[in-house]
Parts: sequence; C-alpha cells; structure tokens
Amino acid sequence: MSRRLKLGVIAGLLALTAGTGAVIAGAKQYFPLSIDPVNRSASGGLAETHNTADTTSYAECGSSSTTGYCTFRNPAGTFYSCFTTDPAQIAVIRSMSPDSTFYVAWDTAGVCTYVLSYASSRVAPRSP
Amino acid sequence: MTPRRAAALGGALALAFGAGLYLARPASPVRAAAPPPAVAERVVVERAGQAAGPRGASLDEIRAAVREEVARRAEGEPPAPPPGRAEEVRAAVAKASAAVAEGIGRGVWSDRERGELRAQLAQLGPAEIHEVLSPLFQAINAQQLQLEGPPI
Repeated sequence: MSRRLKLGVIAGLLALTAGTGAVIAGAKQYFPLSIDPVNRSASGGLAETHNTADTTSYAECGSSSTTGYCTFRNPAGTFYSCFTTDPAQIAVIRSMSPDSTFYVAWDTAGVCTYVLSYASSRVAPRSP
Repeated sequence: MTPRRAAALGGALALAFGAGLYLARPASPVRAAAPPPAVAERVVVERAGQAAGPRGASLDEIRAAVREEVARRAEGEPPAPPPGRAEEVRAAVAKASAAVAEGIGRGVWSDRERGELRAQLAQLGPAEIHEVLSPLFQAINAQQLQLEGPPI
C-alpha cells in the first residue's frame, strides 16, 4: 500500500469516527420499570419499559377532567395502580410524554402520594 | 447755594426717601400657596348591628354567613351542594360503587365496569371520587382484579 493510500485510509477512518461522535457521547442509563410493592412505589422510563424484551410489563399514566391515575404491570403480570384528584398531581401526569421518566408512590388506599415526571438525556428513546 | 436751590434739593431728597420707603415695603400681602386639593378621606362608618328588617338579613347575619363560608373554604371543604343535588350525587356514588363491587366480584375490570364507572364519575366531587375509587385501586393492588385497559 502506498504512503498516499495509507494516509487516505486513515483520514477516512478519522472522518467516520468524528461523524459518529455525537451518537456515542453522553451518559447513558438503562432505566426499565421497577416496582417496589413494599414501599408502594414505581419508577422507570416509559420508553425503556416499552423497549423491554418481555411482552407483559407496562407503565401508563392518564387523566380525566377530575381524576388522574398511573398503572404498572411487572413481567410476572402483577398490577399496581394509584389514582389522584389533586390538581397539581394531575398536572404532572398531563406533562408526561411517551419518553418521560417517572417516579410514583401511593398509599394503602390506592391514592397517589407522589408523582414525578422528568425528561432525561440518559434514557434511551423509544424503539419500535 | 441759594436758599431756593437748598429748598429744591431738600425736597428732592425727601421725595427720593419717600420713594425708597414705598418701594421697600412688601409689595402686597404674601398670598399663601394654594393648598393641595384636599384628599377625600374615605370614612368607614362602623354601624352597630341592625335587627333584621322587612327587606332581609341584618348586617350581622350577612357578616356571620360570609365568615362561615370563608372558614369553610379555608379548611378545604367544598361548598355545600344545593338541595336536590346531594341526592343526585349520592345516587351516582351508589351506581359507581356497584360497578366497582361487580368488577371486584368478577375479578376483571373490563370495558363494561369501566363504562358504568365513567358514566358516574363526571358527577362526583373529589371526596366522592375517593369514596368510589379507593376500593377499586385497593383491589387492583391486592391482585384481586385483572385490568383490561385503564382503570378509569
């Protein structure tokens, strides 16, 4: 291989590396659905829960004009759910997007006691 | 200097002195600056309680009613529903609770039970919603109920 060809190959590899730099940079965290029945809480990323290999687990939150709810199902098919009539918590639920990350806690009456939704660059986007 | 000239000079001096006195006096009585327009003061007259007149409640009764309502709102209590409305709400609670009980009894929360619940939920206030939904969500969390779709 001539010296000129070697230089061309090296330049091409450098260009490829530079092109993919934006994709591999930044902290990453796998954040699938995690349910703690003892402490009555659940957390995870909606997109990563969607991306899990099993076909059973899911997480969802929704609201009507007066009531909000969140429901979680683990891979074993066990359901956990809470509801709220607190306008502030309903507002948090309505702020969620399909890629939101969440933490939800509830009491023994099934009432949501804490609803957190946040967006993070660390979690993976939803894939089909 | 002739006496005539001395008399003329004296007269001129007298005239000049008089003119000086005249000019040195205050030109006119100092006019006080116009006072700023009087600010209209709002006078709140606290009237003693009046007995109910032929036209309605007395001032004291109105005050007591306002205080009572403000206190109730401060404690987070909803305003009392108008007569007749309470019966409708209780009927809606009964229907919604029956749908929840039926779903728990069957072990499944399907479109049918959810539809019956939804038909009533819109008529309920927060307290009634808690009354109806707590048994449903407790059953879900106790794994007594399989969800087919959203709970509400």
